Amino acid sequence: MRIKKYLLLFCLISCCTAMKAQYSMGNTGLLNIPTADMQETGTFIGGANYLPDGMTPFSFNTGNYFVSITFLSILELSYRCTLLKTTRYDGKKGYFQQDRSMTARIRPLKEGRYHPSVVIGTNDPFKDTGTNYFATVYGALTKSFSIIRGDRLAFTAGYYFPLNKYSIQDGPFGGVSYSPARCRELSFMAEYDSEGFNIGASARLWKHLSLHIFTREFNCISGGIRYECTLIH
Amino acid sequence: MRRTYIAAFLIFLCSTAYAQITKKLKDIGMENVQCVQTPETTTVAFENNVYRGTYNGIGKAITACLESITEGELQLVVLDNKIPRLYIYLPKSLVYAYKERNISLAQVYKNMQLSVDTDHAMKVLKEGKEPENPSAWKTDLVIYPGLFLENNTFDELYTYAINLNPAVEMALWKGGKATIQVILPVATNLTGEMKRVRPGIIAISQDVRLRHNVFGRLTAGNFTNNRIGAQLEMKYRNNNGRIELGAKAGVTGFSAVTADEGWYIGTKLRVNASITASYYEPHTNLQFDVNANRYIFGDYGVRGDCTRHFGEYSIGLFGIYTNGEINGGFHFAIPLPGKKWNRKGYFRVKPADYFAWTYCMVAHGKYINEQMGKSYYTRPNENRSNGLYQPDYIRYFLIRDVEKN
Repeated sequence: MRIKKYLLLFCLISCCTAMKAQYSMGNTGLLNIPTADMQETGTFIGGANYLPDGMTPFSFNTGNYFVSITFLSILELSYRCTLLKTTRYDGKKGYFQQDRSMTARIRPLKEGRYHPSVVIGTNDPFKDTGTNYFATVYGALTKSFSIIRGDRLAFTAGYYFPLNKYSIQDGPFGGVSYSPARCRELSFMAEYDSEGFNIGASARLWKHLSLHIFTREFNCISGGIRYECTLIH
Repeated sequence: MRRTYIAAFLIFLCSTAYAQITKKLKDIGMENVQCVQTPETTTVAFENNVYRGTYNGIGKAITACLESITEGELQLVVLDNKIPRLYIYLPKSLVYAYKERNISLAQVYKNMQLSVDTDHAMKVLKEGKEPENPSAWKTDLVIYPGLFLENNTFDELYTYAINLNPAVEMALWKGGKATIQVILPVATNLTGEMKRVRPGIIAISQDVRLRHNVFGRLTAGNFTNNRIGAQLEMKYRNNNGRIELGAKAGVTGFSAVTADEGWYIGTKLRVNASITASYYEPHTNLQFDVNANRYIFGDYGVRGDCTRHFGEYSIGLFGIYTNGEINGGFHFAIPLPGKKWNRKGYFRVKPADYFAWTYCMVAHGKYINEQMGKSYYTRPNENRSNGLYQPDYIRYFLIRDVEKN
């Protein structure tokens, strides 16, 4: 009974608060949307995600893995591969192929006391073979506040401009994140990612390891793990 | 009579300090140590083959010299296989202020002068004794990790090959180096040569430094990417090391280990050449390289690289346009464990200092089929972190390293 109460409380907190980092794609952002936040220069992130059917343009459960580097204080670059389930020449079904994509994000305006930070980014802009399912250009605004000293409440709004008709990222997106003062390594997030609503949380352990979990409209659960470190710069 | 005593005393002081400096530098593992001392100036040359990374070794050497020197100005020449690479000058006032503990080591690094021009200091060192703790004929067995990973098939996530590439590397005479490397396959899903033990880089090279910051290197032997032949490189660097202009030309044939013939060497020779311009941006530690190339298989193209140096890590992006085809990707060099590998005696076993890897975007089509944009390396340790004697880079990360500790 007590466990149920805590679960309910957690869900309520998750619903009314939220947080930052586009965990599902290995970029800076919330769960499945980008924000206008930037990591510290020299931040390297590498990790992997479980992406259930419904989170991707594919009709099967899959996953991705990624690396990301904040190359300059205003420029972040990411590269990821999303696993594709296919039938091989010998009739065997499995994850034999992958969809490669990259992301570049530029922050022309840093967050000020009264104005939000602004980021312009692009996902999956280059084509070699196959279809660019994530091809989009977007703009995002993020403004953060502190309710109690030391905590962080941040709001994000943005818009995706798809680069082709197959892109799953199309239209407005937005979200909110909250990191409590007593535990800034913990974040709660809620967002609309242009296709649906996501609610979830993330936690950073031992300064370098981040875990996250979220649900897409309570239909499926997605999660991932990533390693983060900042190189001398 | 008194003058004679004073002169004798000064000579005694100088020789004591000289002995201290050379001893200190040898104690921390520096090689080819040479010192010339006058009452006003101490000129020191040294070579770091112990500490991983250029700025780590230079920092240790500067500290050792500052601890040993009593007074006067200090000038250092950093050698690489006995070839002078970098000049460091600490004026008398800076040495004095540090010795009196009026300034920190970070302030010494901030105010010392660095230059690529070593000509004057090398003239002074010519008057000195033979270098102590010479590097010549000392041999390293360096274990290089090898990774081939390409997303070029629809039947597997990757084609891969994991290798161990041990190399025997020996410093010969001034600027001379011999390398004998063998590639030992560990795991692969490829067939053919990738499954065989095969020669890696087997080469002899001669580096030279001419006057006015002109560097040259001639290498002959078996290189990467199945090439065997010879290559000549020439480079000019301006005094602050921010601008570099260079040219390269090579003549190579095909070299591979086959199942039937063993080590097969083709008779058809191919000419490759390039001209390069580089700029180092000191505020962001960005290195921009642009080169125009005739690649191995005769295609002509241009390549641009933008590399950021994060201490010993270097991460970069590149783009190639050759014969109407476009490719691009990223590359990195990351330091491997072990900041210091002592060299006692004439033989040492150590892992490579860095692991370097390049990812190319294009995996299919004309670019791959016609082997466009192909080049080769002549040394196993060629990457953007190894041997980086850029003055701004050295100064910046010496300061950051001291601040961090």
